[in-house]
Amino acid sequence: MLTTSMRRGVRAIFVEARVAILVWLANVALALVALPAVWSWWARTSLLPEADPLLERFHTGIFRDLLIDGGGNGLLSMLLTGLGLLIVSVPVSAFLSAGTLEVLISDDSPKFFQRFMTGAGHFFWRFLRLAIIGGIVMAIAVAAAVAGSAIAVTRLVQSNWPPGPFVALGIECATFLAVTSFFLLSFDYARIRLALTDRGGALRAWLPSLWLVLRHPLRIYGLAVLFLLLFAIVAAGYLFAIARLGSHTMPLILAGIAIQQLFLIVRAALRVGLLAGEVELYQWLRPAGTAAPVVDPRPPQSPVPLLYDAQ
Amino acid sequence: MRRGAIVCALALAAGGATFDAREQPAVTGAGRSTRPLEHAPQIVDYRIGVRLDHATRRLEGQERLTWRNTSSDAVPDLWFHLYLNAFKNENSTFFRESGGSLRGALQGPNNWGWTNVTSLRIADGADLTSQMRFEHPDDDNADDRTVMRVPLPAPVPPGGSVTLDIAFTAQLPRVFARTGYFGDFHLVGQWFPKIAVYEPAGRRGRRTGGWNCHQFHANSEFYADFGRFVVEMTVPARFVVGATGRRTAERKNSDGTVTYTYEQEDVHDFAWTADPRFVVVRDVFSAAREVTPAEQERMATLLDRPVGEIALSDVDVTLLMQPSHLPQAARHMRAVKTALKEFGLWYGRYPYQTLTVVDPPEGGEAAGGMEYPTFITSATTSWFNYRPLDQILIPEQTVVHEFGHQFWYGMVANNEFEEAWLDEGINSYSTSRVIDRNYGADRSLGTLFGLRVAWLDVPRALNIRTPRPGRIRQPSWTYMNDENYGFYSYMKPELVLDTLERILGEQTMSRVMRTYHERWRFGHPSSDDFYAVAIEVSGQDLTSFFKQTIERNDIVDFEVEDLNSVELERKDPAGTNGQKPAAGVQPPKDAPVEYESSVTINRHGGLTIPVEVAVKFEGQAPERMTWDGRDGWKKFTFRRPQKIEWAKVDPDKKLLFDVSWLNNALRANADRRVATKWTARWLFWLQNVLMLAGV
Repeated sequence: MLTTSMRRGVRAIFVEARVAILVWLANVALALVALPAVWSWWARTSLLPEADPLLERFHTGIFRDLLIDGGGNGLLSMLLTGLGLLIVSVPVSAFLSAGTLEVLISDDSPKFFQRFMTGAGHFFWRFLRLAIIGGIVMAIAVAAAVAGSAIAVTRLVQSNWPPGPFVALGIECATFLAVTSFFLLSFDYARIRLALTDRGGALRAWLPSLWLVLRHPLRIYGLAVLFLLLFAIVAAGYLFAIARLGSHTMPLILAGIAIQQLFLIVRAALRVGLLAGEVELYQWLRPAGTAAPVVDPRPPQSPVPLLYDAQ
Repeated sequence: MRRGAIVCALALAAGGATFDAREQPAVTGAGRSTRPLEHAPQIVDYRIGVRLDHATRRLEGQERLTWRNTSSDAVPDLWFHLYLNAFKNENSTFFRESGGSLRGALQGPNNWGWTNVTSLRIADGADLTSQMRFEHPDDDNADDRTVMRVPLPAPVPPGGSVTLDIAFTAQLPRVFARTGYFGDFHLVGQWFPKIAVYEPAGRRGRRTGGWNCHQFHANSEFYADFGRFVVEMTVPARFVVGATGRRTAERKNSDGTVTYTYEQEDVHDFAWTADPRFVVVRDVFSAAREVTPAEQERMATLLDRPVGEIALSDVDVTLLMQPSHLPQAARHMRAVKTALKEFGLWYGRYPYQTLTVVDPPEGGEAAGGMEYPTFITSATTSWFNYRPLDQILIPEQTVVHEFGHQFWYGMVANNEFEEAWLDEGINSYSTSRVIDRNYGADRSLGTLFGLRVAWLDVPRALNIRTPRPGRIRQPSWTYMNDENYGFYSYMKPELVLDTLERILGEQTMSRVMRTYHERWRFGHPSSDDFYAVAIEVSGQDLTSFFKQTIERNDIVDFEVEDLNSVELERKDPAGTNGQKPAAGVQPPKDAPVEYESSVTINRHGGLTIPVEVAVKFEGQAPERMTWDGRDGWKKFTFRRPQKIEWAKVDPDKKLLFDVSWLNNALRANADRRVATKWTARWLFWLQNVLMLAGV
């Protein structure tokens, strides 16, 4: 089953490339909001030869000089802009994930963009509610789990065993990742459940999904880890390419920008692929009490003959 | 009383007769010998026996102190430091100034420390216990107990000496402000009644002789005279012990304790440590192995000295490591040996046989990063055991810095109360030099995930446009707060001395520093003595430089405000000799073009200093000129066939205390590569974060 889901997911990376592009474009649109502020902050370096070492690598000393030369306030406004964009990305994400799932689940007869917008509009509010409520619950749960693990490893930290503190940190990080991933995966399956059944509200879909993840951790985490490995390979390739590219000429810098955006497109495609694989897995697992929806493949007959039929 | 006076006089005479009478060259003022002293003047002789009660963290001590009067004054009293009384209660000057918090540690009830002198008498003579008085020479705090004065029945004559027997009890606090305990770890510093420094007339600018004995302040360190220490420490047998000097005896006692004896000459302080968990790592700094002939020759040439004068000695190095930090032992040892070599080659042979490095446990960090003669404490955490955090060089910075103090606090021994920068500032400059050369200047603080951080960025970051209240040369306790003390004692002097090196050149600066150290070794110099050596050795009048940088808090920020090129009317090469062509006559299009270019340099801040300016015209090599920096601005104008391409003030970055280097240069045509690269990179990271939060 895992292999089937994985295959479905990998296939979706290529078949549903349009979805990935759409997701990426939305991401670019959000980032472009910050572009004027970021550009104007860095544009001061255009006339300053002492900033040229930044072409090679980041220099903390130069960055500090940039800050004191009027950059402090600009940095604050950029951070606030970023924070604002992060908040805006929540409803945007709800919209995009709803549209994505509709495209993955429905058949191909309506056009791609029509399907996307239909799903996005139909499920937006439920997905948004899930994101907000689920996000708050997740934050509280993660904080409690990390605090608990920190207390649990106290003796390890204070021991004389040299790797002790490092192992303790590893345990705390693992706790953070385990709890966070648990909630994130449950959000995915809640959204899939809603998209497939179109029944009930966000919480009604979410609670069974939490249970689903707990009941089938190997398959669910297995699928996610496989895609994470794919992402790691892509990320390694990106880091390798960008490290060797250099950035001392404008063509090289523009090539670097192209590589960065290509990486983001692939990242979006992997995300779409993971969702597709999860849909396949969910439909196979199909939790008890959740009957598959009855879908009449034939559209209702219109009493009015279509004009072209008469012709 | 008469009988007592006679007995006192005999005791004084007897004390003088038993004192070490090695010949010493002249050690005061302008007549100071140019030969470095091999041994310190033996002004004090301490013989201390102390027992640690681990359950109560209390020390019971017996001290026999012989003090020699090397002045020409008859000294009627003795002044002592009782440093641990700074932690006695909330009424101490230290507590009032620090608010109970220092170096990240907190002081408070159930954590006090103190020194209580239970008996003080002249050896085989008068009991002076009832004569002890607490003084507060720095403020109006009569509750402060860190300075004690004892009037003597008869003055100590010039050249005479007095021997005292002192019984005391000391309570160690939970580790705070360099000393105390944490669990089984004990760092015992400033723990015994320590006699102050009697400064004769002429030393450090004094008009008359007198005791220099300040209260223990939150932002002060220490000042004492040289001599010999013989200390017997009795501790439970399970403790591993380290101390100043060399261990000369070890005796197991029947009550389950062990008595260790340590001795050291030519020092002015004694500290020790005990912790059953210490792992002892020993090695030898072998001069023959660690220093190559080429390095010695290079330094000899740099300093213009015979190679033999550059030779170093072997030193027994002992690391007392915490088990959880053991993976860092090799790093610590490498840092120690690097420091022994570099400081030795630069300033002179480290004259002691031993060096002990103590690694405090986590939780005992307040005892870390400190120096005592032949005994230093490091600062690290087990996070630095493994990659990638093992690339952060805080352990190395700390070890090299604390060792460097051996040459300044330890041997030159300036008054750290009144002129902290002569120790901390000179040592910070020295530390940076050693670390930069041996670990890489661009990563001297460390590397993390490819991000390299240079230590130099730290003092430069703190050197801001608005001058901080204070200046480098001022008594340490008069700074507005801990941050200003740190900046003016450590950071800014480092920038100033580094700048001076760049101005004078490595060779001259090396000779300045070596001469200063050698001339004032064991000598208690003042800032004026340092200035005098710098001026003498460099052959330059540096008075204005020191006045502006050390004595005042002026800042400077040079800026290229503007540059431009304006095309002048084209000349007709065929005979008009540069004069305007006749009306209606246009010069040919291929006539040479000439531009009038101008560069405007601003000097922000009150510090005036000559500075170089470099200008480049299109297709030409850069040209250099000098500006005296006296006015607030200067405009350079040029007439050239080429347009100006860029202008830089201080192109070699000699002025490290220039607040910002970024505005030191300007170019005529915009180059958007940096802006494009970093705008794209910042947006890329933003996109990644948004994608993480999305879909």
